[in-house]
Amino acid sequence: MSNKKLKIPVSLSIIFLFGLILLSLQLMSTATQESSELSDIYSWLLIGNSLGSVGLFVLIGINVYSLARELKKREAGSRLTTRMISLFVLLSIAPAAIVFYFSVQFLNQGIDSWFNVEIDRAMEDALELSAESLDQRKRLHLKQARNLVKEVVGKSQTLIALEMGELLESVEATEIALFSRQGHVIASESMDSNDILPLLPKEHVWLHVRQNQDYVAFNPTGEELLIQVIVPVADDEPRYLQVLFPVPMRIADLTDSIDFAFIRYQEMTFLRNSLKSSFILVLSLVLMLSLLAAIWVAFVSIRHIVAPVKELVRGTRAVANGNYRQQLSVVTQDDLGFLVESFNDMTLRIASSQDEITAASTEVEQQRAYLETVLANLTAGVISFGASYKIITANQAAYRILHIPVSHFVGQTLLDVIVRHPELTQLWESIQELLEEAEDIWQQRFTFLGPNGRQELLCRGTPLFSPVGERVGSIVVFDDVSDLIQAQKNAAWGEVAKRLAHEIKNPLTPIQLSAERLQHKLASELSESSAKILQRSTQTIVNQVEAMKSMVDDFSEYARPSKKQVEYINLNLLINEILALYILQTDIKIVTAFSTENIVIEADPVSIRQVLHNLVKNAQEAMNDKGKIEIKLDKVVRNNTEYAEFSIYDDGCGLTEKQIETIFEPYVTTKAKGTGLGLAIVKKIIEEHGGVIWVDTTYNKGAGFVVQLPTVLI
Amino acid sequence: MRLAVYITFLFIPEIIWASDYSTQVKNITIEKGTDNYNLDANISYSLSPVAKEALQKGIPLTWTVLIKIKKEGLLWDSTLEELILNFQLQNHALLNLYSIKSESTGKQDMFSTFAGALDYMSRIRDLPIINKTLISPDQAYYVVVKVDFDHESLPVPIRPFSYFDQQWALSSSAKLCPIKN
Repeated sequence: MSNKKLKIPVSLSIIFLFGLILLSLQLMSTATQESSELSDIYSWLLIGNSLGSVGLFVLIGINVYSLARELKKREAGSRLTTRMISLFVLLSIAPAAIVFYFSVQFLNQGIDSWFNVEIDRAMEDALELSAESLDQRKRLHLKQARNLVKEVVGKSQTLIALEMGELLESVEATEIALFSRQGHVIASESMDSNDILPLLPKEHVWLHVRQNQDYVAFNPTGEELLIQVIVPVADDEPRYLQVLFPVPMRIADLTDSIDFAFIRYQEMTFLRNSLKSSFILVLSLVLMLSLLAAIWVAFVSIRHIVAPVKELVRGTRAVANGNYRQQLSVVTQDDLGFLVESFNDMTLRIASSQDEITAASTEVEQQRAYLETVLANLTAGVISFGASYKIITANQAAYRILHIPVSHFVGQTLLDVIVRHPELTQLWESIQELLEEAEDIWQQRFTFLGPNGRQELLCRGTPLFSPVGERVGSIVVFDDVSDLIQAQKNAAWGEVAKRLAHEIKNPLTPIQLSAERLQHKLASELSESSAKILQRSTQTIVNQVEAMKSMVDDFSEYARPSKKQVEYINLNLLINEILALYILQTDIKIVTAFSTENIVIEADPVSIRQVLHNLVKNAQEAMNDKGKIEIKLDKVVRNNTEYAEFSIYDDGCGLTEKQIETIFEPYVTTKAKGTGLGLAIVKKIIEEHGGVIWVDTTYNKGAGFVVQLPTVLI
Repeated sequence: MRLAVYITFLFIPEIIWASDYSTQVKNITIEKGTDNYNLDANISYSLSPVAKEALQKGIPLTWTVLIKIKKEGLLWDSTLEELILNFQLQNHALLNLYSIKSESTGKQDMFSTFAGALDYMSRIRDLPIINKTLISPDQAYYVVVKVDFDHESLPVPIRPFSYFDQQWALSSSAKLCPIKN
């Protein structure tokens, strides 16, 4: 605030500057006149004004340079400033140049008019007339002096001294003196009794008269003009008579006047060109100083005028760059000031609106983030579609269930996903069809072969409508119900097994006992042939009952929860141990590819041994004791958990798609002999140990099974 | 240290504009008088055609003879005394006389010839410059004599241009003369 008070207003500075320039120019104008006392400081004034011009020129140069830089940087208001200053300079220089030109013309003509031939001749004539008049007087006084010489020739010094007064009066002189050759005063007489000594001739006068020449010259002494005449006195000893004649006052005054006028005129004639140059110099300096001052003031004023415009442009740019809180300082209360105020109001309102939008946007963003979090953490897969069935969002569960990064296909349709993942063609086509056709909520179960085997999805779809009833998209939610359905199936089979055990196994023992009793009681009573028949029949009954018991036991085992006794098993060693039993049995070649590090799982060794036996035996049977079995063991990481992955591939007849769908279900078998419970039990054991088993559908040279069991760190 | 004096005088425009019409200071002699050291000097004035014309037209020309008595120092020479003699030469066409006016003495001398007037100005005789008591025998002293043409005494119209015109470069360079103790 204090700085503001101390700051000198621009207008005051300008008035002060112009005052200073006018004063300086006035002083210089006055100094140009010869009679002025200021003529003594004329040179200093000239230097001062020149330095002022240089200073202003430098100031303007700095301003021009600064403006050029602003123009180069395309700064706000620079082009407007340039245009205004250019216009001002053009408008001020043009009339000033015209005035200057005509002033110089008038000046030259005016000075030239002072001089002409008639005045020159008149002045010279006047001088000649005066000189002639004075020369006549000089000649007269010389003659008088010579006459006086005759009076003193041959006389003694004493006599001459006595006659001096008479001689002085006779010629009406002011002073008379007689000098020796050496210049000593012999005798003298003066009209002025105060003059003790006569006027002593100068050395150069002595040089002149000692050559026996007469000397006549004017001698201005104080206010009086005298004619000094010295003539030699031709005696034995050379002497010199000096007589001073007064020039009448009137003639002396006229002489002074003519002398002064002639000198003045001659001086003017000599200075004629210099005078012109001098006036032109002053005029140029005045013009240059005024113009430079005006241009500098134009710079200051125009910058002052353009300042609010620059502010406005700066503010507009800031708003364009998103700074809606831009407020400009209102410098003036004129139209531009009103414009700045309006701009401030506008930015205030925009900033307020922007705040509201930001708040709403933040809220929406928070809600969206919350929704995304919910969606991401849902166990069900969720995919939303736009009006043109393009994927908008897909959550993490969708990837987990489908094993496809659906979120990478945002902005594309499901048909585009098919191109990259053809294994899900049927699924995507079905969903796409439902999306396009369904007008209401739909639900459908889909089965497909995923990378981990057969999967069942329960899909629910909902079309989305805008408040005005326009269809804007749809959403599909799906769950992997494979495990659920499998569990349901397992439970059902368990129930069947239990019933079989109860309903079938119980009557089998009496049947077997009855058959054995018939054999025992009737064998001795029948003929040999009949006894043989009885023997075969009862044996068949007993064998079949045994077979049925075994079958029922198998079912019981399948249905009964296993009693596991878990311990750490080195899977590498266990597999090698089991394979050792099969290597020498047939011509089947077994190729192994095991991880170099030991893989340890925590499991029931009996159950795992059963699993491995079952899988190797199945492969062996599928190849009719001829071919190659490839067994791999490695570690894999899935969902941040480390698993032991055991896979077995044979090059047998392989599995059909239909077989793959039901391979792990009880009573499903491709073999002539077998209960069809082997793989069902294998799957049950693996799942009881927290693992998974599936058919590797990517392997097409035979059948391939992949088992994954969680490992432990020892 | 005399070099410093020369450097000082380098800044005087007349040296820069040294021309054929420059005044020359010749034959400086310093004699020990009864009480003072007295200076004799001969100065040669030569006027350019323009200066002669100006004189004939009645414009007075003024020269200043600057005499400085300096004592040599380690870094800078100090000035003990400074004398200034002025000569204003003017022609009076009507009386056919040349006057020489001295502002310092107020004396005016009239000469019937231009040569006589110049001769008068060119000779400086027995000018007491410094008291003998001010001169120490174990110090070195010297006298600087320089004649400056006074441009500022010229009429205003010609004054600014005279500084840049060689015809008006009528000053002399500085001439030094040691004072023998």
